[in-house]
Amino acid sequence: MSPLETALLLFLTAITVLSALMVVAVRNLIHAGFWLLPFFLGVGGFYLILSLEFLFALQLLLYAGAVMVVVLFALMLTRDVMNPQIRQTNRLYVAAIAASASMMMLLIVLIYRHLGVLSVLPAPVDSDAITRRLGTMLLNEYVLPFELTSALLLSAMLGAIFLARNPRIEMEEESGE
Amino acid sequence: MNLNGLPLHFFVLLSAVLFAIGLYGLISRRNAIAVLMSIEIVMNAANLNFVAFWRYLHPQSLEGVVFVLVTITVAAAEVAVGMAVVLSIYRTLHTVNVDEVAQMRG
Repeated sequence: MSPLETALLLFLTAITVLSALMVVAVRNLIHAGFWLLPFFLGVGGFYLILSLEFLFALQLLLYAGAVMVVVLFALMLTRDVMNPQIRQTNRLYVAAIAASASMMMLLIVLIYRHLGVLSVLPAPVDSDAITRRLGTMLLNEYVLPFELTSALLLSAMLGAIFLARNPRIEMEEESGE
Repeated sequence: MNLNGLPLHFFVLLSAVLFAIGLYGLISRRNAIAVLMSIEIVMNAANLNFVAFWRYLHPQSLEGVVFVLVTITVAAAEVAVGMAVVLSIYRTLHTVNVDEVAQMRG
């Protein structure tokens, strides 16, 4: 790796970790929602480094586009009950720090103990061929998960509409007619 | 990008750090929407792991990438349903704080 590539990698890592920290730590939740954007873009940058242009586009469209917009919509619709002045953490604040820190330590120890033999230099891959083969694979070997995901998306959409509609307003409209 | 010299450890450690950050938010946040945002961080950490292991260990087969595709779709569905549930709770109880919604506590 050239020094430029190392600098780019460090920059991307710093952006991703910092914005993830901001998402969980910032008191104003609207700001936390906006911090999701650099986080998703940073993770997408890692997909790009690992030569997965298609997954980067998907990350941009689905996470940085759809998921963030839905999160911001929900935050703004429930805005009157969230006061940025009051604390946004519950009583488990200290326990949460301890739990996540010990989890991270455990993972790091496990990684260093058992991953040593696995780190080999990756062979270069052709990203155009990856996208083409991914499309073929999704419609051949993996056509069942592919179709199941579409069924899941449809049912999630119907469920979201059913849960989010307001029965009271609809009843008032019916009695008004 | 030329990955020579960059060990798999880098991606796995980064993913562990992101997972721990998401776990912290998951436990400590009061607002249900903020909890969902932390879940997104955890899911992204898992996706990064899938992709890194695929790239370093099995670059010839694409199973890891298919996994990530399915995970991203499930995450999108999860966010849609989660937000609908949060809005429904907000309408009936006028709060979105998970420590105040204790109607089902035994």
